[in-house]
Amino acid sequence: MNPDDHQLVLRVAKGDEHAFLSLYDRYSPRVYALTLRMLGDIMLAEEATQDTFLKLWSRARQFNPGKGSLAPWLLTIAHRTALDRLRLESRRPPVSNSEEPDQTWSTLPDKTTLSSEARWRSLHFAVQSLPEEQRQVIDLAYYKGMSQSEIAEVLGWPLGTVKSRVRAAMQALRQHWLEDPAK
Amino acid sequence: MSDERCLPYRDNLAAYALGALDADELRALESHLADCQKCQSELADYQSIASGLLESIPLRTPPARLRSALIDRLPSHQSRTTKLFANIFRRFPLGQIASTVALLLLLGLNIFSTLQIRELQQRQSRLAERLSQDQTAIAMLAYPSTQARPVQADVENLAGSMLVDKDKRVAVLVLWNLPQVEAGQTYQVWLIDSEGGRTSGGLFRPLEDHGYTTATIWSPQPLEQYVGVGVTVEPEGGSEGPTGSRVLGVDL
Repeated sequence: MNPDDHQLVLRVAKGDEHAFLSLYDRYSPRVYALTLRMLGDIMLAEEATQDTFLKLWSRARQFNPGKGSLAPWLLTIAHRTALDRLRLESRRPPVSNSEEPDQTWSTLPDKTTLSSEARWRSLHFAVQSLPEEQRQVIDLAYYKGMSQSEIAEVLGWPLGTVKSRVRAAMQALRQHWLEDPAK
Repeated sequence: MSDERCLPYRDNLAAYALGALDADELRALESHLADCQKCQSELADYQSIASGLLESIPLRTPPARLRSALIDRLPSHQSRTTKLFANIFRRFPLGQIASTVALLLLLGLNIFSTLQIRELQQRQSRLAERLSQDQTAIAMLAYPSTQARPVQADVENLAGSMLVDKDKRVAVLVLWNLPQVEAGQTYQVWLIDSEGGRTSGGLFRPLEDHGYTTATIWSPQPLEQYVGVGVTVEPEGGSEGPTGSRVLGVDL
């Protein structure tokens, strides 16, 4: 946990707008990159980014530094916000109420080491090195919020094929993760 | 838990971490995860990867307008009106505000209803008075010795008659197009004796929205003792003697 982040979040919880803007300056490139990756539209990505930071403003009190760092908490909020927008556009049920960020990110390993950026970059390249059909299912599942059945329908593949490609892709990434010397 | 029991579920752990399981598989896996440490551990790895997928995207700097738009949404930059309402809602719970508004509405309705009722009562009283005067006029018309004396008007368009029985102490003025008096004023009837003395014969105001006015004159003496009747405009409540302009006169 970056102590600066923690201090800033505490100040945001007390209504400190300068602290809030400091966090925006620090994390908006990550949030915007994620929402733009998921939504594929500049205006929608801007709206989702703004919504994400407004949630940070209103939910700062809920952040518990004992469970992990700010980045995954904030990015999980951004992910859900973008998924809600995607589902709204496609009239699918929203996901916002299905799970609070705490329930997933509490299980994540702490990423406070100086090598975290290098590790994420390494993961990015690991994803890029996956076979095209595996990258495709990861993209549709995680960044477009589709279920395996929906992916099968969209791509015209048998459901079993989709499942096996999702599994194979994640196993390859897991293998990469476990062998990553920075971990 | 044995590996055999985990087999059908382990295949779904990766999709679960990505949020890609269909509803039925999701429920089954969550039920299994509740008491399987081994699968929870493997799931934690996949969830770490999922979290990493959120962070592994190359950074993109958002446009400057987004920061400005966000600043505009912060409390210190919202309009004074918005802040005023926000303060009101912060200081007073919504329920309290709703109750107060409802109470004020009820109070307003009550006052409005009371004023309406008072207005209706006043109108009813005026109509009852008018009815009484009309009945008096009709009764006099039915009386054999009643005479109709023409009104000598001093204002434009005014016309009418006075029904009078000189042996009696009552007469009725029936007037058309009598102008409405201003607020704080009234018409006053004067009974004029042979020496020019004036005795008040009563006060009256025209009814609104009526073409004619009837006014009953109650005389302290039989009308044969008077030579004429006059009507003047006087301050509300009447005067001891005529002070305003004359509106009409009747020779008896």
